[in-house]
Parts: sequence; structure tokens; C-alpha cells
Amino acid sequence: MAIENNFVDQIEALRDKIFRVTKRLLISSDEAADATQEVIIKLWQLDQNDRKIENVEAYSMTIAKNYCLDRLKSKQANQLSLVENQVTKRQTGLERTLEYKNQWEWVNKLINDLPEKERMVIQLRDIEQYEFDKIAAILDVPQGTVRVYLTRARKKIRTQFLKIQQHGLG
Amino acid sequence: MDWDKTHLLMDRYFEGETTLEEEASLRRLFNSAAEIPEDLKKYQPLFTYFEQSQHTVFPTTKKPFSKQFLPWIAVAASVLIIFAIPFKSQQQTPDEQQLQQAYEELRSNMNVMSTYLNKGKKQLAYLEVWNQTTQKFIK
Repeated sequence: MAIENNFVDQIEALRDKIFRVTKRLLISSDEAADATQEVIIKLWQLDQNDRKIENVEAYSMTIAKNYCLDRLKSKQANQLSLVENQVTKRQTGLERTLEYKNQWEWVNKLINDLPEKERMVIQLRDIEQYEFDKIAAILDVPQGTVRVYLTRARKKIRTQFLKIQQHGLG
Repeated sequence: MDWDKTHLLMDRYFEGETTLEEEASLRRLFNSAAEIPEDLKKYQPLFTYFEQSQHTVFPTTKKPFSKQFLPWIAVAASVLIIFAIPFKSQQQTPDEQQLQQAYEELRSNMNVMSTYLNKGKKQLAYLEVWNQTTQKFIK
């Protein structure tokens, strides 16, 4: 019973974290909320023994990542979302930055425009603040690869910030 | 404030070489009220964004009311109906009371009438006997 309660608390504490990560990959809040519920259901389906494992957190992140990537893959097969993507792509230009209500929204877009893996690494490192070994476990890649993704992502971000400085952002 | 150190830290940050502690110190610095040099200030939105993004929470009231509560509304409605039916049958409107009264009155009147009728019918028994006896002779 004590273990059971502990597990409930653990899942409650993870809910927001799972939501943030799924939102980073799926972008839409609605889809992220659905994905979060799915991940939590999967956590509930864990065996009693598996519930005791120390890193339910890392495990939940892995499930979240896999679920989102599956969702994105099936979405890509969908003609409609492809058209949608093209529309949003066209608006990524720097001259459009003024459209964003504030700078945070612009930074959010900047990160969301990165490839999925780099997006995920930025989310896990800069927002959720995981160590490299944990990120490597979640993404199921070597630590070196995580560093490569992270460096690449951060450099892209810096490039965008430097561009803004040249052209100016309101 | 030692800004040279911060510049170095920023370079290492973009190279992906900073530790979590160093990254936390950068976040603290950019989220503080400190006067940040112009060349570093442009990165401020990035770190304030990281800071505020940590507090994004699962939207509890995200789904439209009707969608989320629809099953419960249905349950509440059916419970209400189940309890309302017996109440309804016991509770009578004035119209129904009048009707009931009229019915009772009619019933008692009919009863009285039927006793008189029965009395009359008893007298008919003699007629029956008379009939039988006359038939004997007339045949």
C-alpha cells in the first residue's frame, strides 16, 4: 500500500514534466495533453516490480519520446498535416519575427523549428536539466551523440540570435 | 560582476561544454535584475524562456466543459430520473386529487345503488317461484 501511494505521488509529480516534453515534440497543447495521458496509462500498466525501479522518471521520458515520434510519423503520412507544415514553414522568415507577441514566443518557435532530436535534447537539458547520461538513456543514444545534438542545437540558436542583432527585432 | 567570465561561460555554453551548475548560474544571472552588457543582453530572452518554461504545467481545465463532464452529466441525469419517478407518482396535483375524490364518491354511490338493486333482485326470486309454478299448470 505504501509503495502504491508512493507510485501515485511519483506519477503526479511527473505529469507536468511529461506534458512539457510531449508539447516540445508535438507542439500542440491538445495533442500533448492526450499524449501525457497515454504515457501515464502506460506507467500504470507497469508491473509491481517495475514500479519500484529508481528511474520511473527516465522510463516515462522514454515512453513519452517514443509515443510522440510515433505520432509524428503517422502524422507525416497524413496529407493534410503536410500542407499545414508547408504553411508554417513559409512563415519562419526573420522578417516575420515581429509577428510574435513577445520574445519568449520567438525563442519557443526557434527551438520548435529545430529537428526533433535537437529539440528534445534542448528540452531535456536546458529546461528539464538532466545530466548527459540520463538524456543518453532516454534517447537511447551514446552520450557523445547527445553532446553533438546539443552543440548543434545551441549553435543554431546562437546563429538566429546573431541574425536578429544584425537585422533588429522589435 | 566579472563579465569576462560570463563571456567565456557563454562560449562554452554554445559549445555544449557547460555543466548543469554552470547553466543554472547563467539562468540565474539572466533572470536577475543585474545590469547586463549589451552584447550579452541579446541572449537574455533565451534564458528567461528556459526559466519560465520549467513552470509549464499540465492543463487541467484544458478540455471543453461539455466533453470532459458529459459522462457525469449523463450519470447525474439518470440518477435524478430514477429518484424522481417514485416522488412524482406519490405527489398529486390538485386536479388529480379532485379526480380521486370524484372517483371515491362515484364508487360509494354505485355501492348504495347496487345494494338497492340487490334488494330488488331478491324480490324477483318470488317471481321466479311464481313463474315455475305457473309453468307447471300452463304446460
